[in-house]
Amino acid sequence: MSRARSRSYNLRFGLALAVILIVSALGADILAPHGPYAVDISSVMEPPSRAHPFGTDYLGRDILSRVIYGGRISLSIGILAVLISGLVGTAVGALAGYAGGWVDEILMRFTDIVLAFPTALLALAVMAVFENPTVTKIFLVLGLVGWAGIARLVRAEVMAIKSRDYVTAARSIGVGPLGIVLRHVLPNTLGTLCVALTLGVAGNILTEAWLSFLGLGAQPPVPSWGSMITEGQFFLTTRPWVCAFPGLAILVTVLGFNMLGDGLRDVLDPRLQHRI
Amino acid sequence: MLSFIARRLLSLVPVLWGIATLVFALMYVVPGDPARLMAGQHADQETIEILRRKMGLDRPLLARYGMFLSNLARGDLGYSYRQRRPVAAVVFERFPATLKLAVASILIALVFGVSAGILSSRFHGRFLDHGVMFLSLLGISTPVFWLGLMLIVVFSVWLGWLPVGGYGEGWSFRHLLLPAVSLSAISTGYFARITRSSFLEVQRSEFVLAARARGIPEYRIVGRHVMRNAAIPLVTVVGTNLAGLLGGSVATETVFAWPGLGRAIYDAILVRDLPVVEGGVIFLAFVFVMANLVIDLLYGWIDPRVRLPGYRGAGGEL
Repeated sequence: MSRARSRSYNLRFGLALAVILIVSALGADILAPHGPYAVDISSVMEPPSRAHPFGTDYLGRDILSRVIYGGRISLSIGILAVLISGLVGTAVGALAGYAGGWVDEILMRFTDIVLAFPTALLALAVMAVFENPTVTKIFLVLGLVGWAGIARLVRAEVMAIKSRDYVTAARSIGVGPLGIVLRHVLPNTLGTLCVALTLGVAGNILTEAWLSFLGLGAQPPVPSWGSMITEGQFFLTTRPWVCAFPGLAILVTVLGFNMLGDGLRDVLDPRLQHRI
Repeated sequence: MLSFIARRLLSLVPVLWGIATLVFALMYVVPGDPARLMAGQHADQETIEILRRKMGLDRPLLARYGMFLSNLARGDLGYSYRQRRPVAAVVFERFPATLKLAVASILIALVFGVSAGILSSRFHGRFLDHGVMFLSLLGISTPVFWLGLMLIVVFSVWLGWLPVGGYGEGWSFRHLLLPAVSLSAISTGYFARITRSSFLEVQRSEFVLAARARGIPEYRIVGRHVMRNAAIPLVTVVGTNLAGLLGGSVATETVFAWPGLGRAIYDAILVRDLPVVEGGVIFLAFVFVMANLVIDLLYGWIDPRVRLPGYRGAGGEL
């Protein structure tokens, strides 16, 4: 009973947060009271007030507006990167799981090697090389370092599904391997995949914020939450709100996707109820 | 056990080789001439030419790759453009502070995470359980560098209890506290969740039921039977969390002006001193891989099943 309640609680709360965040990012042009780059020298570093609920930064830009626009960057990087990881991971996992034998052996050995990498550090090593890091580069890099865990998950699912009766039936009426994988096997891995992808969005947003904070993400004046914190940290002791609100936005967003992922896992995959 | 250790050691080779190759490839695609960067802006063409030959940049790609690997195997991580000394020297000077911070963070995370997890499993399904689980999810979702900044605002600026940053003299606990606590947030959350779920799982298992049926007192059941079995997934998660800790240290050390390797990497990013960035990352990746080897061995000691060839591990996958 209480388990069921906490389940729907996570799912509902997470879903609500995710929807709110996505809507606010999409509707930033309507929702944000000011433009993200609107400099106002007459109101520099103002504390939160009615005119500027989150205060203003060192150029007098409205922090609330920049936080809302920043959502576009964080969410698009988080989601696009996870789609790349999902695509690569599913392809590798499905191939390994369905083909089996030496194909599986080689692909999984490689996946294990990549899994043993500390991925965030790897992303840092790659981003540090670029003279001007852009949003496109970040999501490509994050997407390409994050596929291994998904490949493992999909492989395990595919191995379990491929020996089911309906797959044998499809094979016996002459459906080719590609048709079986695409039409009969992969659709049944979607539940697991959804959970992994949702949690992946949360992880990517956190990593992107960390990279941007280190100056390896979206460059100023682009309103990225991580770089807003970097800019604000010089005035931390006297004007803490400049740092506080972008960080709070990261926390709430990541929390939302983590809750959504947890909730989805409880609903879609009851076997994993007690996993972490 | 010996063949288990040998197998694990062998499995390290492709991982380390992969990391090294990737970093070599990265350094190769970097725009700009390393010799020019090393010589400085005002160097004449002749100096650059000499330097290029000295650095082996005139040799073919494959030869340079071989040289890079053999240097790495001997502990040569490259040469810092800015600091004008080997990267290995930077690493050895700075890493002890990072290690101190990481160990302190893990200890904090273990103490708070494990006790929260046990508490949660004991009050399974009640308010306390939900509260602890929400808090742990909050911990997992925290940008740790931001948490560090907020802790500075509260404890250093407003309350004035702890220093804003720096390393302090010798073993300054006061300087260590804030960075270690903020860095431990994510791990604390993970440890609480894994402890809770594995405690719940073990408590339901048949051998615990059997122990209960035999009338063994509860504290001994928990202390001897549940703890040891529940520790197995926890040990793995400590290993996977190290990656987050080492990566997180780059930002956290920056926030707290902590003189570790992470801060050195950040400073190098700012001045585009790439050898320090890439060498530092290689070293941290190496530490991560080695720590996980030790954990794997420890794991084989706690749970003998793991030593069997072909065992792919249960749990631990996040």
